[in-house]
Amino acid sequence: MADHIGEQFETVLEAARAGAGWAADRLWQSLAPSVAGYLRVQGAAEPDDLTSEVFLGVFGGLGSFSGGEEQLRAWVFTIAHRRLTDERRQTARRPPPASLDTEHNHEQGSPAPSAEHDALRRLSAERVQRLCEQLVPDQRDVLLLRLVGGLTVEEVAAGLDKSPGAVKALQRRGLAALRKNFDREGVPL
Amino acid sequence: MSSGGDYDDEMLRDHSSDDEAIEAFLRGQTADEELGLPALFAEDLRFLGSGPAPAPSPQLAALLASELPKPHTGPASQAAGPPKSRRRRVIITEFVIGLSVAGKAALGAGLAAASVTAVGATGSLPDPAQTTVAATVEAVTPFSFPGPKAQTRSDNFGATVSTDARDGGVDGSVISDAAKAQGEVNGPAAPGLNGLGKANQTPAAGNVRTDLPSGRPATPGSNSSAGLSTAATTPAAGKVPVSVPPVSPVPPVAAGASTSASGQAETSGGAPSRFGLDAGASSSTGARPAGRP
Repeated sequence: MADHIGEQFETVLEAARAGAGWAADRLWQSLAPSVAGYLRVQGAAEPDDLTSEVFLGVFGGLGSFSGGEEQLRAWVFTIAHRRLTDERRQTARRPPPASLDTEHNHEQGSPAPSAEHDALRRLSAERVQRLCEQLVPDQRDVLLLRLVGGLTVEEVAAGLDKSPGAVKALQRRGLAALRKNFDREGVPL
Repeated sequence: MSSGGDYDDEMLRDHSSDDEAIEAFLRGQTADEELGLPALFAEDLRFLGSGPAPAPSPQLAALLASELPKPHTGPASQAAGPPKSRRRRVIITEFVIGLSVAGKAALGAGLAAASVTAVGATGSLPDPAQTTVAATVEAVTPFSFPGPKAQTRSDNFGATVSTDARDGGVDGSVISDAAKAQGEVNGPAAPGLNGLGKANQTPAAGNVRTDLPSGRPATPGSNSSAGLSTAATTPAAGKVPVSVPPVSPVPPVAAGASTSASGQAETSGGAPSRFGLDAGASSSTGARPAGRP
């Protein structure tokens, strides 16, 4: 889970609204890792590029946003999910397995991760992605928004235009499906 | 592949306990194995959201490196760009910043002139300023601006009476009625200013007699001391009997003449209309005070 800004959030948000690059970068550093992880597991073709597109929209619309850090997180993930939906409509095909090559993720401007972190990340991505690919899209959306995005049932419901009851049913069925697939196929861990 | 059809009995079950367990799992308070999930499943998912941020795109990198708001032109901004008002502010700000010192001065002067003209168009400027602005605008444009309020309001009553008085066409009854009506419209007269003061504010100023003879009592019984003191200053002093017989009431026409300098009392107090006859005759503004706010 990405780091939280905490008490300085209001200051950072106001500065970002005013166009301060440092504040936008602070929001980016806080939220971009989980957004990119969400898009990656969802099978986005270019998760990092799509993450940048998401944040261009976020920074462009900050003037209309109101709320705290958790509300901003939910708002960002809602935008990310809609961008992903747009991308899927454009490609008009089932999302292919995301590229697990993370080397290109760390070009200029980002600190180079350790080899250990890179390996763990690759391994975990392969593992959970294999399981999530077997879920129906609605179940996968709900579970990933909740587990990767950290959104509440209500926030997921608002982002997906569903009722909280429907979201609970989807996460219930999604977890049951994961369990069933695990029992049937015995995903190596 | 799983589907909803795998859970036909789901609607018949009470899911509250399941939901609580799921919530605990999603919050990381329950081990994955308790739900029959692969160990560290949730942990792996969360791990995907950790670590450093990916490299931003060139467009985003430029924004992150900037210190001033910039209008976005990419597809992302088309979907969720800044509000139009903010974009306008940014454009105007950049325009002003780009001007030279002389340009900024000219822009400021232009804005000030436009502001004064706009206010002048509503007739809200102080009278001297309104006169100047109206004259200037009417000289350089085909537009007609309102003059000062004092000239456009209906309380130009005193000037009208003054003009009528000079022409000899004053009807005191009409003036009195008009003055009372004016007073009802414009409210009470300004305190601390008598009829003479009002008269000196009109175009007839200078024509008002300020040396009205004293000793002409306005009301019966109030003339004795004034008359004696006046007599004591004349060559006939000492020949004037000290006992003055009672004075009969002064005819109304004389009373009007003596009180013309204090017309405020006449008009604002609702005096009979014939008192206004001399008010208008002796002082063109005898009825004016009641009409002045």
